[in-house]
Amino acid sequence: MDSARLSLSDARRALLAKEISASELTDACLKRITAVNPELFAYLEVFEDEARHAAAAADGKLAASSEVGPLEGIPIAVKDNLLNAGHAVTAASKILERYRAAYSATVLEKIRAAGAVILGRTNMDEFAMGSSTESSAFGATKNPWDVLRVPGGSSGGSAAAVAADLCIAALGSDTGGSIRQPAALCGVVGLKPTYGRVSRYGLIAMASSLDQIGPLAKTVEDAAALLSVIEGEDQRDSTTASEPPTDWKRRADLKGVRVGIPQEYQEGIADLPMGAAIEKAVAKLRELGAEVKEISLPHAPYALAVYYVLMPAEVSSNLARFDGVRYGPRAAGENLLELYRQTRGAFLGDEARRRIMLGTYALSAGYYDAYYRKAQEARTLVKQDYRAAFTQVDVLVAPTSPTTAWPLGEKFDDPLAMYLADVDTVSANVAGLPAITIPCGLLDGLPAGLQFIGPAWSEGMLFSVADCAERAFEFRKLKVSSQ
Amino acid sequence: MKLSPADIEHLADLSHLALGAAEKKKFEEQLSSILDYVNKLQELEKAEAVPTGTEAVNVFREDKVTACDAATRERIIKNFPASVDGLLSVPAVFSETKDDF
Repeated sequence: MDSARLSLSDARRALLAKEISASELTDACLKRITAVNPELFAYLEVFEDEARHAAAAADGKLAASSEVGPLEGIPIAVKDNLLNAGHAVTAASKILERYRAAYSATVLEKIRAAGAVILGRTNMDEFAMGSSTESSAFGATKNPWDVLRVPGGSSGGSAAAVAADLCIAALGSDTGGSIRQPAALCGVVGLKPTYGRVSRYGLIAMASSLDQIGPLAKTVEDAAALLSVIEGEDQRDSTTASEPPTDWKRRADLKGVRVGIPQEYQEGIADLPMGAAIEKAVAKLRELGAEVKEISLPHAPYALAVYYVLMPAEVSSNLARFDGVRYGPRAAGENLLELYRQTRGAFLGDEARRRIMLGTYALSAGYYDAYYRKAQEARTLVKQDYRAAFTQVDVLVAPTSPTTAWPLGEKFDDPLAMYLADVDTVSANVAGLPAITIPCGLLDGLPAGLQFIGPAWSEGMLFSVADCAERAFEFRKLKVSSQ
Repeated sequence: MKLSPADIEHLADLSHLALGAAEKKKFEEQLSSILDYVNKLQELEKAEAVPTGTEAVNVFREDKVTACDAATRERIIKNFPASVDGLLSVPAVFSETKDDF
């Protein structure tokens, strides 16, 4: 078997047992990248030499069995909005095309210290704004299941890289579903941790009250392994919390687990093929012993509207720094204001500019109360719904996306249709909750994702439940037989 | 919620974005349809909820200066569009004629 196809935990076992070397594993991934990346465009840049050096160093440690880190010799792909000192980091935007990171993100420092081999930077929607990876200024990533379809977004490059075995696991960021939705559309596992679980120091900010970094991986166990390396309090991100590390145990069944099915999510997909796929998956959870009941989140239908007010408001503020003075290209202008306007007009893409204008509108005099304040109030209501739900159930189960991957170009000129693709994922960000997606089956040959949402800091429970479901769904077997 | 061409003009100004005529037209339609959608928040007339964010507590730390090594410093300077002898070059903020004030 091609070792690039290994899961992280299998690769780790093989490395520790010296059945393969880190160099062989890295070479296997690089070989697949050479063969497949020109078509998929999952990576914007591959650090070939550097990866080989890191793998050789890992081999030294593995041979000596000393200082072997938890990710020793594991090839990891990194979304291109995470700073990596000395490397280009672009957020897939023209305005950062020539930017080179002055320092490294905390998560990069952590995976490197754990022994990971960083393979390269993956494509994304510009500044993580989008649900299809088509808004990248450098070209769209394709879905490995069908190259005429989108991989989802904004972490579409990371999701495609994991799905096509162009890495062992990857890092992404999730502001409104940007890890989970592409993971679902590409048939891999993706976790959006609790707000405050993972440091965002060195993440190019999009919407700071919502952004969270997390893993995309081939299995739940792998996502848990990656989270345990990147999580934890960080002085450099004051929103990180001093929670104990995530701990989880494998469970044989789901006996005693109270699973809530939010009606409001189900209604959205009742007439879609996804409805049947989710029903089938829920039936499996029942077979595993879960106690399933319907539950109501009355304000869930407002979560997307809340998101599309608050997120652009934060975007308009976070992207103000890209003004032609501090980073990247500087357009000519007869005065300072004209320089700002020309630089931002020329080098920021459509979606970034739309969201800046939308956020500016929501924050502008006369509209603040009707939009921003109203959305913050509604956000509290969304949070309260979840709090109430978790007094009755342990975990909520919902679709990750109302549809499977759609054809390239289909929603690109209709921003509202693109926004509606986030309907199942945004509320976990709005409420700051952890949520994991796992592939639960195929619909017309394309992966469908099942999402588990838990109370704050319940990642350990989510891993236990999702891992149990994952083994029952047997998706990886299905994947092999369908290829 | 229909935005007018004047609204778009005003928003582009506030956002510091130079837009072409075709873009203005396109954004006018697209932003109007998005605002129509988010206006469903107005249904929640009696929200009576405390806006999220007010429960946050300040997080303080020592305001210590930490050293920046030469390589990091070099990288920061290089990212500026313009620099002179290791100093960052920025456009003039004030003009010399009195008329501009």
